[in-house]
Amino acid sequence: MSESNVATDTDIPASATDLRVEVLRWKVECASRLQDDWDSYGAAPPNRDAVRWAQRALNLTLAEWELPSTVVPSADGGIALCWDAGSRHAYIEFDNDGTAIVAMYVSVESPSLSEFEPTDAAILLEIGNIQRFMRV
Amino acid sequence: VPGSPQQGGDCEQDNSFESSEALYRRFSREHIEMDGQLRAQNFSGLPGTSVNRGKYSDPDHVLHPDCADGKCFTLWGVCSFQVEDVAAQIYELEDDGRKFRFVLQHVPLPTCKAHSEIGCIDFHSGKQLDRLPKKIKNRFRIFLAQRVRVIIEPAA
Repeated sequence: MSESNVATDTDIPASATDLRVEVLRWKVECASRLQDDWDSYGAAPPNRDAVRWAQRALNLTLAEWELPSTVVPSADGGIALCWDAGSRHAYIEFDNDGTAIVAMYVSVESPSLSEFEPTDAAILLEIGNIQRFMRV
Repeated sequence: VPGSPQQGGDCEQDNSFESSEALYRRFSREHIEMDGQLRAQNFSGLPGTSVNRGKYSDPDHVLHPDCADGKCFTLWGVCSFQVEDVAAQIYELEDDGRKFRFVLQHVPLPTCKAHSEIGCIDFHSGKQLDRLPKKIKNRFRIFLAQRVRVIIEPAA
């Protein structure tokens, strides 16, 4: 918002997609501001690395892929980009230990899981796998 | 006091869990999916994930400050699953064949008698584990997320 608190053309997202992107970015930002023990079950907020990778993954997704449905903090310390389509679910979770995991599953079936060290190339590969899984 | 959680005081551990006993855990609105299923990201701290056991508490007691480290969670929801959801499965890590079994332990707190924890043991040695392979942890929390029922909806 501009200083006068009046919306200008540049403040207003150009499309529904732009609005979704804005909301997802806010969610990353909000997760990064959580306090220690935010669920009183002892959860740590996502650390700087996890947040940075989540932002990076979001930016890489924007280029050519379907946006995640949401971004959520993990009660296990970290942050996850989540895709939902009917009974199909997938997430990439960037953990506070600097690693990441991808999970894909249908309804109550057993998930497919893969761990990886976050890099641009690895994230793109995993997002591609998620997109194919979600489209089946 | 009606409506308040039972105090733990110096009560003894009761590690007798019926398979049909309900377990309760609170969750925030962002951890529920469009189809009503809970997200795996709600489950933390494995092993050592906290729950309230139904034998000593009502569902809403997980929102009460006495069972939430003195904090207020009146806008959060409550989900439930059963003891058998935790204890019935053995998880094998494909990478090396290690097997894991999840177990419940009653860990009463001074202000929350119902407090319990989900622990994990090595299936072969019976040794209690304090760290889990990431794949096992995620498989288990997805399993729980797939089975929980929402008892109290979080506030909009």
